[in-house]
Amino acid sequence: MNCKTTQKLMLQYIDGELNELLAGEVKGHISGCSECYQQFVRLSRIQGVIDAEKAECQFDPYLSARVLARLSHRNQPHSVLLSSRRYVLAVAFSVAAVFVGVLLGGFFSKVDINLMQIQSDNSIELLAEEYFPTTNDNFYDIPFNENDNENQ
Amino acid sequence: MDDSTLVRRIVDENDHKAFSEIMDKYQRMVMATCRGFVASHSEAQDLTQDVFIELYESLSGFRHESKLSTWIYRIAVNKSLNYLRKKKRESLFVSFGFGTKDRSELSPATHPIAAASAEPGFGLEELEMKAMLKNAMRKLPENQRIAFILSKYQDLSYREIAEVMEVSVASVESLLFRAKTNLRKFLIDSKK
Repeated sequence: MNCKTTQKLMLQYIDGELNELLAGEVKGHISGCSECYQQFVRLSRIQGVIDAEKAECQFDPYLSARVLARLSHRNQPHSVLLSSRRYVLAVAFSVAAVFVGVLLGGFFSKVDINLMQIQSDNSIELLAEEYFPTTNDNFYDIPFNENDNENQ
Repeated sequence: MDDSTLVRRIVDENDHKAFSEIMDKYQRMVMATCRGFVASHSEAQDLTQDVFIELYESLSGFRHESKLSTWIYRIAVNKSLNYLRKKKRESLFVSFGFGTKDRSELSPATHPIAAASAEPGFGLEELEMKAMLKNAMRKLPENQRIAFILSKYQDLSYREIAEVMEVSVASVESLLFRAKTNLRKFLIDSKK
C-alpha cells in the first residue's frame, strides 16, 4: 500500500472501520513510513479532543429551572398588555401631534393674513393722504402770504 | 414514565414537572450535540436552553411517528446551524466595516482559537488541535458535518443518523466517508 491510499484510509483505520485485511495493510505501511506515522499520531488525537468536549457536558441541575423561568416570562400576560398599552399610547401621541400641528399651522396662517391686511391698510391710507391731505403741510401747496396781497 | 406519556401530560395539562423530567433526561444529549457545532461550552449551554424552549413550543405538533429523541436531535441540529448562520452573517457585517471589530474578532463563535483558549484544562498542543479541528469541521459541507457530529459526539449508529437526517443508511455511510476524508485533508493541509 502506498502513502496516498494509507492517508486516505487513515481516519477509518483509527475509528476501526476497516476490514482486517485493509487494517493490516495500513498498519504495516504506517510502521515503515515516518511521514504517515506522523499523520497517524496527529489524527489519533482528534478523538481525544472530541472526548474532552463531550466530558464538559455535565448534568446541570439548574437547567430545567432556568428554562421554565424563561418560558413563564415569555407567557406572562402583562407583557402582552404592556405592548398593547404601548401601541395605544403611540397612536394617541401621533393623533395629538397632528392636532397640535394643525392648530399651530392655522394660528400662524392667521397671523400672516392679519399682517398683510395691516400692510395694505397702511398703503391705502398713505395714498389717500397724498391725494386728499387732511393737514396743511403738503409740500405741493404754494405758501400763501396775506401781506403780499395787501401790498398789491 | 415513558416519553409518550410525558409528552401528553405536557401538551394536555401543561405539566411543567413532566417537562422538567424530559429536560433532565435529554439535556446532556442536547448539550453534546450543540457542543459539536459551536466553539465554546458556554455557547452550547445557551443553545441547550433554546432547544428546550423550542421543544416545549413545538410539542403540540409532535405526531409520535418517530422517537422523541429523534425529534429533539433535529431541533438541536437546526438550532445550532441557525446560530452559526447568524454568527456568520454578523461577522460578515463586521468585516464590511459595521459594528465593533475587536469584539467579534475575539468572539469564540467566530474564532475557534479564541474559544479554545477560553476553555480551561487544556495544554497548548491540545488547544491547537482543538482549534484546528473546529476550523476543519466548519469547512465541511452542512450534511457531512451533521453526520460527523451525530456519529462522533453522540455515538449514534448509521440507522439512527439516517432517521435524524431523514436520509438512507447508504447516504449516511457515504456522508461519513466523505466527511472523514475532507477532515483529514483540512487538518493535514492546515499543518503544512
